[in-house]
Amino acid sequence: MFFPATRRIVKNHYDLIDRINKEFNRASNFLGDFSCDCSPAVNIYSTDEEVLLTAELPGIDVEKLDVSVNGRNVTISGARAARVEKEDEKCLLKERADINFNRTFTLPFTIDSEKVEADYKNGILSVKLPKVEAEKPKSIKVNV
Amino acid sequence: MNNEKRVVNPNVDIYENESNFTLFVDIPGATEEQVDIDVNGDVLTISAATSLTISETYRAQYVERNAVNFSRSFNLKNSVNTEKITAEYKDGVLAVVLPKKEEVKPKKIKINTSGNLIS
Repeated sequence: MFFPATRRIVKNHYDLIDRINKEFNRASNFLGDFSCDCSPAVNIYSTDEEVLLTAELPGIDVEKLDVSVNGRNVTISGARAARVEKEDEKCLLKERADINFNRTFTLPFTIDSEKVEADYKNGILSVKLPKVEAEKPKSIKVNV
Repeated sequence: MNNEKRVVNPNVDIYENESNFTLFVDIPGATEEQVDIDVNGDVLTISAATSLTISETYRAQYVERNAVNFSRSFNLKNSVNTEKITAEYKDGVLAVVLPKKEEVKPKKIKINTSGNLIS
């Protein structure tokens, strides 16, 4: 039903590729500042009336999170800035990348932008995207 | 695929200053109660078993996130005062402050100018 363009970890070999990528990212940390443009992991659920989208975004400032809706498209974007190192401290290990993401999903219906709800808790962004009234399923009574 | 939860090594940043080590661990989706910090001898283990709490009326259409067991251990190498470890969890990030033992903290040595040691 939905075909987002990137990051489809479905089977084991995808998982392997993901892990290789992670190792490369880790290696490039040693070479200099590294900003991750990779997309956050997302789940999409649906009912007849709405779609629920959840995304893994640990440690993001809510002020820097953005959800925008345009017709059938929903875009989530945001950033996580690196910790500003204090003068007396040094970094021993850095695996958590700076996140800078922008991800768009096209849904198979027009979104009722007035009724979209978004919530950020425990590092998970949840967005409820209801259908516009006109596209909700209706049962039609058959007269005999 | 089997139903057992995957064990995931969470990403970690470690900072050090004169008195503490500070750990930042990404464990998105865990609630505060799910996060466990254990010290066993000289090994610090951070773990969290997350769950996806989605109402049953929703049908999954596309899944990249799964409920996982986050787990990672660190050897403290006898340098941390384990009685005084503090932790805080917010927005999917766990911060753990590990105070150093007195004997591993750097010390400034005062230089005398009396000349008694050399002569």
